[in-house]
Amino acid sequence: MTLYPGIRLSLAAGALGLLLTACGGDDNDDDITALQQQVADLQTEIDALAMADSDLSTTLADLSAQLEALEARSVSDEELAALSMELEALTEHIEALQLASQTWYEITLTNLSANQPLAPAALILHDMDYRGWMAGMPASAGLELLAESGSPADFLAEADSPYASMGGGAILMPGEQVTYSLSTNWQPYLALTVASMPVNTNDAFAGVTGWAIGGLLPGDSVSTHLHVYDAGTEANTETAETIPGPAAGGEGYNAARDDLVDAVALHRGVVSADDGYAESALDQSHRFDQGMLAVTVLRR
Amino acid sequence: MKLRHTLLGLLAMAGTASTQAEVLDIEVVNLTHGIYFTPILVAAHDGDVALFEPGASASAELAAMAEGGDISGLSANVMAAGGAVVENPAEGLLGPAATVMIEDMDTGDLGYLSLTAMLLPTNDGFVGMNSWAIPESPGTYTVYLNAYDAGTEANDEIVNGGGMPGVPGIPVNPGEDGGSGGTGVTMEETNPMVHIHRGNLGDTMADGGPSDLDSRIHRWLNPVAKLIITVE
Repeated sequence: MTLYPGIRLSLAAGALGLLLTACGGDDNDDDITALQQQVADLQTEIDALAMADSDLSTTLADLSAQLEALEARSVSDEELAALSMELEALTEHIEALQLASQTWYEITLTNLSANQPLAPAALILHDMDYRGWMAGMPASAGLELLAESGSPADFLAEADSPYASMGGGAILMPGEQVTYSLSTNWQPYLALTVASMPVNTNDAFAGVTGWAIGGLLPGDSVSTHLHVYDAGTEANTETAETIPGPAAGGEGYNAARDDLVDAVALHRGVVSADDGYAESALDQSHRFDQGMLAVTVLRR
Repeated sequence: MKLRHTLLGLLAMAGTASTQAEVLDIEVVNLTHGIYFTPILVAAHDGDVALFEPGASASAELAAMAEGGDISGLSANVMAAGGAVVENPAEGLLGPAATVMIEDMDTGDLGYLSLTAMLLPTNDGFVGMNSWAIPESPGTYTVYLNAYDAGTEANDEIVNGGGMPGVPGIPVNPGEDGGSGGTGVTMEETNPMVHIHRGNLGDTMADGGPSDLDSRIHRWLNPVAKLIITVE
């Protein structure tokens, strides 16, 4: 089921309203077809709410029958308008039910690093079939962009029909905490993916994918520390030219993959100039260890 | 596991068939980008034998594995104690970011699962799992493993073919992506017990410097391995 179908239905109803005012009786066949489509859409939403035996369904069946009767004869604008308004009312009722059936999850991120600002996170609620990455397999193009430049946009777009997703609003500085809220209809096998780039690296990302959170009861929360991965898409040269973060201000994304192995693995940390790597733009403060991003998920 | 054996005993007395053979699929993932696992030993055993104990001295057999990759002694110990083993599932090295699958390992009614493999290039580092309790419920379990230091050799980080216990040095750098002529990071092992490896230091000098390893390649952060264990 797509997210916010109510918006789509409202737009359709609004467009229909325009049609009715602009056209005369000759175009009523088109209007009837449009209303019939709206009826079909509403039936889908009612089925998704598992309310096939409800009053809603009866009302819809009634309106559908009226529509069929109108199709058989010449129909006035007023009759169509009246039918359209009744469908509109039914749509609003269904949208209210959908909103009430949404489950809200609050996802709190805390940057526990010494000096690694975290790029705006990608947050996805999804089913158990989806994985944002697999250790040992090459990173997707979207993950490469996230890990090299910090941008979560393409990684989010790659997710096929997630229940809900969003990109974070701002950089999360060391020591800072932020909470994002995502909602969806509750599923027993609901899973969460989070990914965010420590910006003073070549292609690191802190994340978790396929974290099963469907078992949380209302009011429950669960916490963990996320692994820091190496996307395997860019050599860890730590040079000023290749690190996008404030330590260097260099290039973020580069389409070429020149890392040791083109596969996602756990990050081995950064060396830094203070540890003898003269060409590194990083100093010892930019080093990190596993656990630098803490996450808490709360089900409201 | 004592409880489990007691239950099995009770069932046997009641005249019920009691053996519950646990058959496992085990996927081993090398989570590093620059470290190789030498031939892996996976062992199923009871509580009276272990491959290693963190905080205790390494056995001679553990040292042989950690310093030179030789699993024969550890394997023989497990078999002699009535355990079961899978040796060298990857038929050689398991490279960076590589995965090997072990299918249908029959652990009988043995209670624990353990794993060791030497980490290359290190002096006496190894990836290890010590006595993970094998679940009775079918399902899929994920376990992350850390890198240990056997405590039996100084971490000089010199690649010189030295792999026999008592011979300093790193036997080989399989990636051939380090340096040479290293003067030695240290001559001293400060903790002679099995402990969590502090990591390779490395340097960025191809010729000379303290280490023959590359600080940009041969480092890691724990965990170094991921096991996905399916109990059938």
